[in-house]
Amino acid sequence: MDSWTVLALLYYFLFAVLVESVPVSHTPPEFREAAERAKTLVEKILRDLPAAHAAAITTEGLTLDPSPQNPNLQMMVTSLGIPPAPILKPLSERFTKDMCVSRMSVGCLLYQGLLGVLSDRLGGLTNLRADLRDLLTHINKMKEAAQLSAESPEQLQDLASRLTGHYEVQVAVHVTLTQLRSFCHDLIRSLRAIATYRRRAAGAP
Amino acid sequence: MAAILPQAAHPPIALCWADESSLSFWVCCSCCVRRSRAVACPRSGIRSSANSKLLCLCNGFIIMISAWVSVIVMLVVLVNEVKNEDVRRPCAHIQTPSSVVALGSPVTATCVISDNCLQAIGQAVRVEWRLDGRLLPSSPAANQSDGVSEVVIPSFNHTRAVLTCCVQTSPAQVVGGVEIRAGYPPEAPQNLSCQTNLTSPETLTCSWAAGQQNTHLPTKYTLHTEIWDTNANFTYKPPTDVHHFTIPRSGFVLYSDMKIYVRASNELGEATSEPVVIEPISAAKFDPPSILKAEAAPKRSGCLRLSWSLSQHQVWMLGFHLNLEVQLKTAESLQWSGQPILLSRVKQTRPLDQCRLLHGTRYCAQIRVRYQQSPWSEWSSSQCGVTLETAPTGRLDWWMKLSGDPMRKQLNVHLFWKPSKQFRANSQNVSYIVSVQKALGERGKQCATTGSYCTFQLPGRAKRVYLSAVNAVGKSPPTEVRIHKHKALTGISDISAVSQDDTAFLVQWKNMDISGVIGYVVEWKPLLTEDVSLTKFEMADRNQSSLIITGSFEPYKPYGISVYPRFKDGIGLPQTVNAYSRQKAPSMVPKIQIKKMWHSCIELSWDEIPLEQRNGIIQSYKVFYWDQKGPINVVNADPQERRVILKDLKAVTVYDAFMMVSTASRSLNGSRIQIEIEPFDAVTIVMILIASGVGLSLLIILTVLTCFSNHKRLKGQLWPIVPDPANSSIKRWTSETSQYIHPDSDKPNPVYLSHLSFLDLPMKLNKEEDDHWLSSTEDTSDLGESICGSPFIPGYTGSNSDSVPYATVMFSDPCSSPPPKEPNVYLRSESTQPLLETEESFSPEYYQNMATDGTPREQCFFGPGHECVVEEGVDQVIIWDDFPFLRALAMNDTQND
Repeated sequence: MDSWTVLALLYYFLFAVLVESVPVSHTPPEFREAAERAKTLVEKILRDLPAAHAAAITTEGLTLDPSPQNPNLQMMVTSLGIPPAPILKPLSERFTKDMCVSRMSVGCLLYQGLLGVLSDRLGGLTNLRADLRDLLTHINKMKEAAQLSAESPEQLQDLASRLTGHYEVQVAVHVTLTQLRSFCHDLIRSLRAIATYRRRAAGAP
Repeated sequence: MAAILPQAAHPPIALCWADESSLSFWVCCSCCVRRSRAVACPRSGIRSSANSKLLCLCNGFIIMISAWVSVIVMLVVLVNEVKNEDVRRPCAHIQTPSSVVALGSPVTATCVISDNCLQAIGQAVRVEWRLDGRLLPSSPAANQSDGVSEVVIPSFNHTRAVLTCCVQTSPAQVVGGVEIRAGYPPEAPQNLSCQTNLTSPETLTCSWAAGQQNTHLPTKYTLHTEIWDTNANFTYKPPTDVHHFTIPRSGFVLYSDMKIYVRASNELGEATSEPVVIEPISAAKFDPPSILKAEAAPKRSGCLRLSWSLSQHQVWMLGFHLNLEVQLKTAESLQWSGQPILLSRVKQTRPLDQCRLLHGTRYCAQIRVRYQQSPWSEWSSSQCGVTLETAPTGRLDWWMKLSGDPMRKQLNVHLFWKPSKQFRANSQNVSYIVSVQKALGERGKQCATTGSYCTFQLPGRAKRVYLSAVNAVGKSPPTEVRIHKHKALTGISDISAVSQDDTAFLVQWKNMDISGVIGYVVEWKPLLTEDVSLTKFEMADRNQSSLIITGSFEPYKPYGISVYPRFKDGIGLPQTVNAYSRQKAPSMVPKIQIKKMWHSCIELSWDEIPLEQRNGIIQSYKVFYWDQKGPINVVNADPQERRVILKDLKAVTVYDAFMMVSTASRSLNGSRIQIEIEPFDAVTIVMILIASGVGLSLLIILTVLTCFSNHKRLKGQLWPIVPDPANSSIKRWTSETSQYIHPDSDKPNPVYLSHLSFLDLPMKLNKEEDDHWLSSTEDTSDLGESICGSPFIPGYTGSNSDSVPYATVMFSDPCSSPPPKEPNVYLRSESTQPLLETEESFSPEYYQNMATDGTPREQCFFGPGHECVVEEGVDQVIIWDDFPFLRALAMNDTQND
């Protein structure tokens, strides 16, 4: 290779690296605004969760914060058919914004449905359910703004029929709220990341 | 429904029917059968053996008659229902297009009278209409035919009225009626507004106002919401005529716009308000935020850093941009300064820095927040912090008063100061130093204080001192204080002070046209305390004639306000006035004292009210007094003199009196006292005594004069003159003067006895007078006068006199004539003839009666020589002729000799 070829190759690769390293934001302002509002609503849910848990749960040993006295409810969760929250991972090439927002939406739908069933059996959950509805609304607006695809939510396996007794209701509410809090923490992290996420131009999906 | 019909063709069998179902009919029928058995079977006497036959017979009978009964029952029911319809049907009914009409619109009604009623009351009966009991005038539109009457009300102006149809019987009967209501269709609701409550439970409350026109009809409102993001529509129905509704949390989506409108409806129509589009957070009134900390911004002078937070219910809006307003004031200030400072797009995660503030000054701040255009929250509670300190700047205003003994050449200086408008202490802790030297140091320092005044001494020749403010960071530039002597000049007059409120006085004065006045100093201090530090002052320009002084003035306490004229080279004489910020009645009324009382007048006086008990400026003292019968009299007293005279009082009358003391605000009455005017007062007594004394004296004088004028006659009448020749002698005596004047006594002048009288002697003479008299016997001219004007002879007392002295004064001229060149000759004779006294010898000391010492024929003249000089009178015969008794005695002596 002559020198010109070397220079040309060098220029090409350097330019490519430079172009690749310059962050290019494709996030529309509507998306950021919706994400910001969604994050605020998640904060609100996190703030309201302890009060809602305290108002709904009267069974001793079922505390929102992890405690050694907390019973192992895994079998109960399985038998009641309470699905786990969707997993939110840090944004990456494999876990894209589309996937993340879809998981957010699925999770919100899941808990909105759970709270819908549970609020028929126990008071004090309607406000939380309304917050989840609002959160879902803004996540949907994020999807619209970014023209993301929708993911079908997991269907609840007739939870209401399995809530046969008061203890089952208490366990179901406790597990739902505990999982919701964990999911909200994931949401906060994901929303914070998604608002500032800048895709590499070359690797943009 | 069941009933037992009257007994008809089959007496034992009761007829039953059911008007609702055949089931009940059969139940009823079986019942009836059982009843028939109870009636018929006992008569037949068949009981147990015939039970089966009877049962079959009964069953067949039942089946047979059941068809008949059903037919009969149906007929009876039909007939009965027809009868009931005739009974229950109203006599007439009124037909109207609508029972609710627009107010003012025409109303048409038709009254249809049933045929039954017409038969009962007659076909030709007349129908009339009444509205709320008042007969409606028949109108051409109203007609009547065959029991049908129609009325037209051209304008229905009642909001609610009963229209009745009546027949003109006697009395008139109402046969039908209908209530008609009138009103207006609703107006569109106004001023629709919604406000979100973000405190649990979160709600959205919307309110609106009804239209201005009263519809007179109940209005229902429905609140409609359309949430755009979720395409959800909700309708809420508040109670009738309620103009607000609270939407629950499930009815709105945070951060999503929603369209809201209200629809009003009544029986005449409906109207919809203008829709509003809100976003619930933007329509939220936040709870008052809280300032977590207020502190000085590091390394930034004049800046205050505020850390703040939303309330716990809204703290989840942590990352949102909010609008925020800050209010600041210094800690000493009572009011927040100026307009609030607006800060846009702030996050509660970031503290706020407020700058351009005074250095080293304690500021208090409060904040309020809102999101976008939402209503402002209430103000937070205030938090205070101190900005960074710097050295004091600016000059100080001062006021100096001098006192001291000029002989000692020392001045006592009272120096007061206060910050000027330009002065900045720039610190919380500032002190002041007065020095005779400009450079700050211990040398020359007169005083150092944190107060606002200082007292020190200076030599009389001192011209200036320097005043500086000092804080922890540095000192201010020194303020030069020139020492001016006071001048005996007055530059003002007519000072007055009017209270504006508890914190201000308007001080006014009149400028006297004196050149050299460069301004004025208004000084004020409380009068009930000696604390000099409470003295305040204010400067005024030379053109000013009034000034409003502010501060904290205690009500009902006196303040002394002085205005000093300032000259270029000194301070003039002040004018001072006392003032009260607020006045009330005095705390006490002085005790009335009776100072003087005379005739019908009485003077009352009293002491001054102590200053601490006046509570205001004494405007007047009024004395009210009255007797038991008379009216109440009022006398005003001069507040300065504090005395009053009550006049025209009746003697021997008890008066009640009290005093009322008034300030500018209130009055206080004193206790009642009683006053009695005495009939004779001291003056009257004195005057009466004087008058009596004068009258008595005049009487005595008059009497004496009268006695003297009629002495001879009186004496002649009371004590006739009885001469006693035996004890009488006539002696001529001469005074030394006469002897001196007439040294040739050998040749006496012939003496003529021109008058003989007896001497009127004093009643008593003491020894001293005798001595005095002895020592002054040389002045015989006095004797002459006394004899002439007042026959006063010493050495005689009427009580122990044993003889009556007679003196014969022989004049050549009357005694009243000018003194002759040659003295007169006095002859004295004495008679021992008892007149009214005891007969005792009387021997005067200065002269001797010749008759007692054996020389009766000789006549002795009075004189110092005590020698009897025999007078060889040529007219002896004539004398004896005049005294026949003496002559006879002389003759007897001669014979005896």
